[in-house]
Amino acid sequence: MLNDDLEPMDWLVAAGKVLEYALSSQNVRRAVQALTDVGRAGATSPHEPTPSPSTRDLASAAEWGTLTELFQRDPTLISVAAAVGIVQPWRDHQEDGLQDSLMARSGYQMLLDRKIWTAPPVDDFHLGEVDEELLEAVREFPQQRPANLPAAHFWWGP
Amino acid sequence: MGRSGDDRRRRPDRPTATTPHTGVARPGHRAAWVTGLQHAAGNAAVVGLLAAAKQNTRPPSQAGDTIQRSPGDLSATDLLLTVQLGKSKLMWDFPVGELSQGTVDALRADPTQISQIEVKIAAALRDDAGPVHESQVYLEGPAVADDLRRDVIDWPAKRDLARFAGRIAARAAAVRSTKIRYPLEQSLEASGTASPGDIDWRQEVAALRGHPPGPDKTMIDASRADRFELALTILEHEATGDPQPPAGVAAHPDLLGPLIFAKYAATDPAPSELATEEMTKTHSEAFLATWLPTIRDTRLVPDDFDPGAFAPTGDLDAVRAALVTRYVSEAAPRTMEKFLLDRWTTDPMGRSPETFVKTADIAALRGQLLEHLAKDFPRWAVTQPGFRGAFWSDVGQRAAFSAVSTLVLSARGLQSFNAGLADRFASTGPGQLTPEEFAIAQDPYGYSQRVSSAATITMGMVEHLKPGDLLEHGLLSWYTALAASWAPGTDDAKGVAGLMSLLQGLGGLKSAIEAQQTASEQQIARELDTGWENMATIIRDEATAAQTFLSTQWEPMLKAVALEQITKNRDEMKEHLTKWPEYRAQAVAKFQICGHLLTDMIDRLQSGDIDSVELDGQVLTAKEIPELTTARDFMQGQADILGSDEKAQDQKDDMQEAIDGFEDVREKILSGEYKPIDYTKAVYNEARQRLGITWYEDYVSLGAALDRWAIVPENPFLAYAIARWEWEAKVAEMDHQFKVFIALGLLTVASLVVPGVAGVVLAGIDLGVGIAQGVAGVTDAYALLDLARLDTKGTVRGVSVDQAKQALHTAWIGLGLNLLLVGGLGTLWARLVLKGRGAAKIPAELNNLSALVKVNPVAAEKMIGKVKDVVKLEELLTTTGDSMLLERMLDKTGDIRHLEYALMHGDPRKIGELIDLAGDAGKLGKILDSVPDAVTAERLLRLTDDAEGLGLLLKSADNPAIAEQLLGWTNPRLADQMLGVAGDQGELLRLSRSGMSPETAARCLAKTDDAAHLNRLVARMDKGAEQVGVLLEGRSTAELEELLNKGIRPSEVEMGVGTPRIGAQPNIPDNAIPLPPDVKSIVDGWGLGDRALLQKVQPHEVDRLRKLGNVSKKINAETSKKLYAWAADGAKTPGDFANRVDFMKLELADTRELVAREPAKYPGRNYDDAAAAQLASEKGIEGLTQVMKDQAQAVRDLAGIGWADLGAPASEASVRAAATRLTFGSDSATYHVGKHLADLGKAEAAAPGAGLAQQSSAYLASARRTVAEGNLAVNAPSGGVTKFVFSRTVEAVDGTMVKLDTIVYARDNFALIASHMKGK
Repeated sequence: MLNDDLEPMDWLVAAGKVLEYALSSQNVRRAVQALTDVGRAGATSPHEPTPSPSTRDLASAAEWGTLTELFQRDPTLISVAAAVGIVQPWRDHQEDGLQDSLMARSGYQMLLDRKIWTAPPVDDFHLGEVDEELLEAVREFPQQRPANLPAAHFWWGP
Repeated sequence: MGRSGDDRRRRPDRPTATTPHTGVARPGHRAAWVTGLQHAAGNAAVVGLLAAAKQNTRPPSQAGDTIQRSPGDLSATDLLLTVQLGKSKLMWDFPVGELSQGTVDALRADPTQISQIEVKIAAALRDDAGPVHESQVYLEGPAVADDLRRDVIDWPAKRDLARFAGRIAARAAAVRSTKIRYPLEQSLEASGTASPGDIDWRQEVAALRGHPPGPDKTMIDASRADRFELALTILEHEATGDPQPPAGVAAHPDLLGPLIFAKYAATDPAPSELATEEMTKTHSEAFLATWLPTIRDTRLVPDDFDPGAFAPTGDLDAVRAALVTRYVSEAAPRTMEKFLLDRWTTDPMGRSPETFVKTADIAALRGQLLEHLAKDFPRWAVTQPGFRGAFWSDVGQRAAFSAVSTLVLSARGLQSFNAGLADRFASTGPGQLTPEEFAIAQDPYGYSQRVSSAATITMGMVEHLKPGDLLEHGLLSWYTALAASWAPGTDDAKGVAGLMSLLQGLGGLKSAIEAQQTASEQQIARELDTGWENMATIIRDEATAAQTFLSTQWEPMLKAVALEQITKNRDEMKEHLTKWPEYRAQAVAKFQICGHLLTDMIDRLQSGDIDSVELDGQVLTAKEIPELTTARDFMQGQADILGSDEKAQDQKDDMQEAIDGFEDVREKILSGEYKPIDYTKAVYNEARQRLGITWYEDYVSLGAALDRWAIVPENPFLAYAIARWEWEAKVAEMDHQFKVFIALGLLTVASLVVPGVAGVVLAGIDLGVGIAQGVAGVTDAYALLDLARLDTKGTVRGVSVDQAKQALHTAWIGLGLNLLLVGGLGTLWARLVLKGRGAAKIPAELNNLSALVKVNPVAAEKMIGKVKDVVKLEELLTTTGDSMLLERMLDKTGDIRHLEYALMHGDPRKIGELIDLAGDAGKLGKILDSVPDAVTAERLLRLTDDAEGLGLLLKSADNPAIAEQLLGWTNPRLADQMLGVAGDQGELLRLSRSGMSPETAARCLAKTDDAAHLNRLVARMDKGAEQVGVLLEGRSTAELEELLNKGIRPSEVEMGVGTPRIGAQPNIPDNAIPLPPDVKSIVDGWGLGDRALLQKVQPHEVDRLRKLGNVSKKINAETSKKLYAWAADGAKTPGDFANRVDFMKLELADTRELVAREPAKYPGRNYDDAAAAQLASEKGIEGLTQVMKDQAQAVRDLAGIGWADLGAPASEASVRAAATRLTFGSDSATYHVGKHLADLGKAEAAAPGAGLAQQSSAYLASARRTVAEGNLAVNAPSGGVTKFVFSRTVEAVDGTMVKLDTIVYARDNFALIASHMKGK
């Protein structure tokens, strides 16, 4: 990846930038990328066993304000991105795309946890379909499971 | 314009050109004649002013007072000259009081002389081109009239009108040599006013004449109006000979008049092409403002001069008396002897001494003697110790002091008058000026010259006046010189009336001096014995006196001079030997200069430019060209000898030998062995000069001198004594033949002292050989050789024996030697008299060249050799005023005409710099042809090193400004080349500012219609102007425009998009293998296990099929099989099938997104299943097929489909080289376009809403650019196929940076694009 060395705050900024483009071009893949970036912002560094100071501050980061507004702007696009886009990296690139899909899903979950929408963009059934596909994928390629995601985000299994 | 002569003659108060300043005529009509004078003074604007006021100043009642005379009339009071000039009658009226009485008497005695004067006037007013361009009013004005008046005074003696004709000729020459048309036309064209083709100058001038557009209130205004008319005259002259313009070309007086006035008349200084040094002098009335500072700044006495320091002191009469007594005892006897002997010598009756003393009027002689002694006394007195300041009487001192005081007062008055002229002329109309002021305005240059001359004389005298010194002598010489420079009666002398009044004051001084002389004379008469016996004795002893003089003064002086000269020669030779190489080079140069000079004369005689050359009475014509040629060859031969190391060594040895023999020669001179009678003319001349003895004219025969028929003015007795001595000495040496010549009167006195006796006579009587032999016979050959060797300059004994013989054969070799060894170029040139049609143009002196020859003969020779015309070289030296500058210019001049032309354009130093910049005068000339001034030329030259190219460019450019702008872009030659094809030059300038390089522009212009066309193309580019050049490589303009018109962007065209070039396809060997069991199982799962297509696969396809897997387990099995069946139905190979499956998955993902947008429609249903069902429907299948077909067609149209021929075995380099031809290998593979379109960089992505064609174009271009410009990330050969991955990082559409990878497969000489996508 080009942006391996980015800090969590940088990922949030990147997410906002990509989402802006996704919104203007109605591009589902870019919207998914925005979710991925949010997921990466929430992930601790793979090299750090404990959350970094910046990660600890993430919950109150000012960048959330802008990002929340963007994610709230077009719930349909976000719902399409979450329902069918999250699995697309995995489908396109199999093992190589799996981590991106998992990060996107984690990012979506962070947004849900922050309750930025009055109602979740994706209903439980279709989100369950997504998680089911990801669970199968993780089972097939467990080594692709990110180790540094928040513990609560391992919904596809231990 | 002026009125006709007839019209003028009816005016009651018609002024003459000269009456106003005499003050003798018509005092009651002063206002009228002043006005009349101004009208007659030749100023167009004045005429205009006066015309307006005419009603008031010339009442009709005066009309009857007309002066009626016949042309050419000399009345008791006036001389009237009348000449018809065209339709006008010119008249000049001179009161006889202003002409000399002798002139008036001569004209009365022979009235036909008056008409001869008029014929001369008429002749002077014409030249080869017809009547001169002069107005009637100017010709009748005060300046011209004054010239004519002086010429008339000189007429009886000279019979020509030198001043009048000279002035007119100089003005005509100035007009002829001035060119303003071209710069004016350039200026008009550059400003967009008019193009040269639309202007018929003869017509324009006719329309503009007499209508100067400037103000007409003051004298300065009038001068500007004159300058306007002058410019018209020049333009008219330049237009002479122009072809008739096409009918209907109208004049533009309203347009051109103000422009010409603004450019030429309203400017100070005026543009250099008009205000040449010559023009500002000959037509100074038109440049009045230019001359006023010169006049104002001239100082006649130093500002700090204090006349009070010269106040007289004490009683001096007693001192004077004592001096007279001393004079009588010490100096008067010798003066008396000399006076009496001179009187005897100059006796017109040639009486013998005895007869003279017996018959002369002794009383009268005594009176003259005393007068002479009285005048001689002050000359002697000033040489006496203790004399200073104590000689003159009190009266004389007071007169002198008074004169000095008056002089200073008057001079300062004139300075003040001059200082006020500028204000006067700037604020006062011509009608209100005094006659003297008006006359100054009519010829400010002439006036400045006279003021300057008076200043030189006055300053010269004042600066030498010192308190306590004699005042009188200085004042009297000042009086004489000033009177000569400022002839009484000159109009503008009125301004120096104070100075002239001083002349009267000096008259008193003169009287005082004369009174002193009388007193001295009386005292001398009392104290000196002037009795008859005493005087008779002196005359009777003339032979003794002569002998005393010869032995005590003459011969010693001759020896002294000879010794001085040979000593000087010896010293010079020593110096030459010390600096032998330098001397040798200078000597060679001198001989060559002589050769050049002779060549110059030969050329002039041959061409008829001159008819004859005369030197010292010898006349050369074209008949003597062979002799001149011989002389020229002789000079060149001498130069060659000195130029040759071997031969020059002989000369050097001779010189050393001469120095070694110096003492011997010296002794022989002192002992008289070398007889003074054999010395050269140069020695004689010098000796006589030192003794104050003038000499006989060359033509005076010896007999006339001995008989005292011919006498010299100064010291006649001593001159006679010398002549007699020469006669006697020669007779003693010469044979009978010589005496015969003398008896026949063929030998002159001068010839006696010429080496070889009679060079001048020989030219006439052709008996040279005999006499030359005679000379040889009386001279000891060896002794002569000794002397000749020492006497390198011929100053003592003439040239060497050999050279003397040569000179006798060809007298003109002597001329050359004279030039080289004695007088120098200037002396010789001044003595030459050239006659013929071209002679008038040749200057009388070569001051500059002569000076240069003396200082640096080598440089002079180099320049003469280059210019090949000494007169022209002199002109060039005069023009440049700096020989080193000229030498540098000549070094860079091929044809002298180029240099002359260049020098017409400005200050020589500036032109020198321009020549340096241009590298060559010829190249500069071509540049000056096309620019308005030297400043522009310099600016342009500093923009390029290629002056020749600049000349070409300026010729092509519509104006210099265009050339200048183009030079800021490219070199002149390329600019010139582009102008040739640019069409509208403004469009080329626009192109130059577009950012396109000139080289690209030149290349592209060759392919486009013109610069405008190219500019249109530039406007369509997406990566700057330079991109056009890239796109037109290997492609015509029409082809490029066709591609652009299709919507293919320039940067895509750059990558070959739009021009498929894949060529013949390779034969790929079939290495198919049966499906591996696991793959077979997958294929079965798709429901395709029985398909023939999927029974065997190429090895590289196995993994591909293995990775295809299932789309989604959630999709209904039948639906899934339908979709895989679609993929298999259209596939030709297993790889093709895999592409179609991938395409199908892509479409499924898109459809899934659409489905997911409407979740309410699909509650509890998997989106994959719902989307697959739509895609597997009949309509969905049709859509899939059509989209794939359209995508493939789009790519086929833009880039073709298949393997691109690399033309070389596959490698990184060959693949990169073929980047612009690479494309997908199959129709099905084109699905990558849609799959990865969103990955493209911001600058490359197709615009939102773009169709398949635009999307494919953008994708292909991006892929190809990555191959061409990206880094090679993978180079993996495997089984005869190499996989290359090229990577490039670009800014993504969302502003982030993205890495793009292009996968290329290559085998043998072929390659294709497998995919192009966002990299990992």
